[in-house]
Amino acid sequence: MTRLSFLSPVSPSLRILEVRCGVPDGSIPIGPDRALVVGDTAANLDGYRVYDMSAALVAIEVESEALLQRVTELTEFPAAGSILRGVPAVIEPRGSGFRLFVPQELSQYAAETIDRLRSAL
Amino acid sequence: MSFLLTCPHCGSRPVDEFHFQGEVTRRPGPGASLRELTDYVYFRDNVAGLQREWWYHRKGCKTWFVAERDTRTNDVLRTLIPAPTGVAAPQ
Amino acid sequence: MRLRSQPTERIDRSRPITFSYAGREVTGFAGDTVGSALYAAGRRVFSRSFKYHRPRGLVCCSGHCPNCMMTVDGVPNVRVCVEPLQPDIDVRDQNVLGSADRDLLGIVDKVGGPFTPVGFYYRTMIRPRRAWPLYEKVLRNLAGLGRVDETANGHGHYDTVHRRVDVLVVGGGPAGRAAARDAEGEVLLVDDRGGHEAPYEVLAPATALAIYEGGLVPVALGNILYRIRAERIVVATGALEQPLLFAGNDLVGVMLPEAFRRMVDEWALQPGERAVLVGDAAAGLKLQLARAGVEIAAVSPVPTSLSAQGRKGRLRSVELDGVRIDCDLLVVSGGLQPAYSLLAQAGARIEYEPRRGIFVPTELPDGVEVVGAAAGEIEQVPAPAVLDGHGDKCFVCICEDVTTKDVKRALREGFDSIELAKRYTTVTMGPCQGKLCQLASTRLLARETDTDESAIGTTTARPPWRPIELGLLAGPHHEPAKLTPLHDRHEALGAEVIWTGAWRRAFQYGDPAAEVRAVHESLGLIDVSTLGKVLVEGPGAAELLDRLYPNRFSDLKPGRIRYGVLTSDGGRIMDDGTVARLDDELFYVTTTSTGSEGVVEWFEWWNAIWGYDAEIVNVTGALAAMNLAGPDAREALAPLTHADLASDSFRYLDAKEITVAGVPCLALRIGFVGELGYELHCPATDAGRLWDALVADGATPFGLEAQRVLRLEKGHVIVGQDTDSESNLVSARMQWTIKDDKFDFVGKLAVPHLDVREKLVGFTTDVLPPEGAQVVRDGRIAGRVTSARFSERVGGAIGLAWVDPDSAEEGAAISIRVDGSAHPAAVTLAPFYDPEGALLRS
Repeated sequence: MTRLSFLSPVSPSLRILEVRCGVPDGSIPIGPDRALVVGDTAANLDGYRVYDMSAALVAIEVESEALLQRVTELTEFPAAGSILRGVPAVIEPRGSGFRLFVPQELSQYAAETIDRLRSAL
Repeated sequence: MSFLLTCPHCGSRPVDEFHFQGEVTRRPGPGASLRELTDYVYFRDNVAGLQREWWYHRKGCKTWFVAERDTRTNDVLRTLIPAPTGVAAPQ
Repeated sequence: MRLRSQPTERIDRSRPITFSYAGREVTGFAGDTVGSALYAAGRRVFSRSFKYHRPRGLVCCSGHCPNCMMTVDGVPNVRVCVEPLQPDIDVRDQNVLGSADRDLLGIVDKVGGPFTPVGFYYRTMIRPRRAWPLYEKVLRNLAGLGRVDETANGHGHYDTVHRRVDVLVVGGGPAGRAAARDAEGEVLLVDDRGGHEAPYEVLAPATALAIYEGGLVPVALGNILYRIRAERIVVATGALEQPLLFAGNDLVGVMLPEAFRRMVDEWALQPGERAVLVGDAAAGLKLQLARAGVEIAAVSPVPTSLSAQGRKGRLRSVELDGVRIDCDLLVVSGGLQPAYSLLAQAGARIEYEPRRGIFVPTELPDGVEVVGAAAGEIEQVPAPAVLDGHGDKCFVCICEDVTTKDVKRALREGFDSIELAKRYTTVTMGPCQGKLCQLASTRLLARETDTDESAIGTTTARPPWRPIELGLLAGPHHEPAKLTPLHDRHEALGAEVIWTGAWRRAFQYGDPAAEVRAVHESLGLIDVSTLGKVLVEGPGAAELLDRLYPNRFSDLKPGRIRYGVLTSDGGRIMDDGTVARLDDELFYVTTTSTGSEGVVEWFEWWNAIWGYDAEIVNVTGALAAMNLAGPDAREALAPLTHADLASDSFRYLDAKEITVAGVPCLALRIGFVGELGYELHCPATDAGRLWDALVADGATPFGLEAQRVLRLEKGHVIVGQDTDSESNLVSARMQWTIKDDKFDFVGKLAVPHLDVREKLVGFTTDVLPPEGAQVVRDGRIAGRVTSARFSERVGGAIGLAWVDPDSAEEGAAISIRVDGSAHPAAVTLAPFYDPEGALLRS
């Protein structure tokens, strides 16, 4: 872990770490040697560079494929790609639905838009 | 424009997930003349045919890679992450 | 009036449906279209034509031609011949003054002709030029299609759905259905008629609008746009029945065989009482003719001469090879033409095949196939271009009212290729988009220029296949605004919020002058969370930064901050910010708000080329930032933190990790706004708590406008405001940042060649100039103002401007043009307020 205390939220609702220099087991790959580690993890992160992104990203649930098809063109998961109007997101399958990690500054737009699309279904 | 581009890491994605940086150019060495600098900054080959160009997966994995694309048809022959040229200055 | 029950009828006579047409109540049945219900109720004239306002009736019953377009529930240009009937809809005529039956604008047909030949608007109504708005208004009211209700805020909600399939079949006729059955993988079939039962997925009634690169096919189904990507696209769009060209060919009562077939088979309608049938496809309607009880006056293959006569636009007789025959129905067939449009869009070559007189698609690109009649699986003899015969107008294009006379005139005027003739006459440019007139116009041009159809060719096929609403393409409403973690605090304070790029920012909280005063006299607080923030970490971090910037950072001590400005390799200023060294191998870089993503991409690109061992991490969204500034800043901060804030412990340009109000922060002592200040960077989720504590402690929130004034008082440049794409470090008087002894950096190549035709200076004056105001010298433009504000502290108007190098001297006199007159101003090179920076360093 880097000693960047000013990066780590005091009490995050969900711990999200961006890991560089490799893709540890159980993480979500987001690049050739980058990954997201979500939640409390037992994974050994020695040897990786780790940055706390718990405050940077917000998780949004999309419960069905039908709704996801209105949100993004992506079809294979997990994936880092574009949703809605050019919002970069990381999407992982979760249960029978999906979980999307979006930048916090765009999270209000994303959540409101997904709500509206859901009600039109 | 709706062609699909194959990111070396993520696979086939719609082109609007990417940022196009332009032709791969050759950076002049130190002491370049004004003409050499101007050519490098402003002039491009702009071939009607196979072009080597930089792309960035802006909405995805944020990887910089090079594509070889036929500018007449938008067929992309291959995409690759080039090895760094190294930290010495160009000659 | 209906025929007795037909074996294949789609109507359910036990379920009547009432609706309104032109204000009167009409009844039809479930399964009717609006058009078939109107026809059953006696309607024969369905619209008035685009230019001449001629009466028009049903011709195709397939949604191809424009003749049945009406306005339904306020939505214009609805093709009622295929529009399913719904209860209580309000249907009205369009493009008429009066009604379809009695259109006062029909006078245009009687007398307008000589005044409105093809291309008349290129030759008349040119002078006087100022009368054009009037001419335009008159013309727009005389011609056109339906009217959009400008008061309605859209016609409902539109959605976009993305799909990826293995095989997409366009067209649900026999060939399409067979292709879908035999295909492997995930199959989707699209058809414009509903009622399919199939083992594969069907979207219907839906229209495939186009084929784009990457196997993308947009499909419209109601208010939903399906964006479908398919590995294989099978086009089975069939062939389109073609009309014949002869005098009187647009009269009500002239129709294509498919219209006759559907009217009888599907809606139990009698298309006429006494019929003439021309062309061999027409002869294939014997069954329907018998069922409809229509008297057959004549049956003929395509004759040498044919003309139709009518009264008030309705067919009364035809003259067939010299013989006059009374009739009220003329079914004509000019043969079939493969529907190739989607294939042409995909890049297929469209070739004329003279034996059968059709254009066929060839050389299909990978991933696109064609089956059935669309591929040219048709047997027929080519129809002639035009049939001889006496009479009035012979229409090539009924959508745009283009006659054979218009096309011949265009040729005489020199518009002799199909593309030129199309643009000049507007043939094929109407709602049918060439379905009924592309082949005919090519044949006509070939005949008139004595060349082959293959030499003439076709015009470029373009999307969409049928007209669609813009709302469908736009999809649901989106407003992707970036909000800072403190957005709700600004709203609660009643801030005026503005756009800067994609961000929403607080511009002011009611009194920007008071906000400026608060910062100078006591304490202010501004949300600067939009700043780009980047961590650069690793053994190669220092060298990487040395190479990206003109500045040197490798000698920056841990815990210290330095201003950094980025240039391109051409030496142009791109962005600026601060670089704080937190450790030997760890740097914290800030950028401008709108430049953050671009700077990260720039860093990552250069490092992809060089390969320094360093991680570049964009933490812009992870951290909030707020600037606490004013003479009371230290006193206000002290009770909230254990950190030693004494002036020689926490010096100007120090960076320290401290905890404030229980929130972990990186505190940067920098001075953008000119007073003692601490820029606090903390986790985004804890920003509210920190802000609240500082405000409770007496800080006055200040916004962008106040910040602009404060920074201007210090002469601080804003990249993109005071600099543009040509500005370089020497002309911007920031030469001191260039450490040219470094072996390489981005922009080093340009240093010997930098252009210094102008310099960025400060100025004072008494009248506030607008941004962009001209600096004049000896009556000529010598520069421009980039920023200007009135400063209470300085006691006058201050600003930044580009001036010629000779004027870039302390105290030089320049003139600035305000409201047409030149006002004197004095150049100031030092900051206007606290030039020594004593307050910053206190």
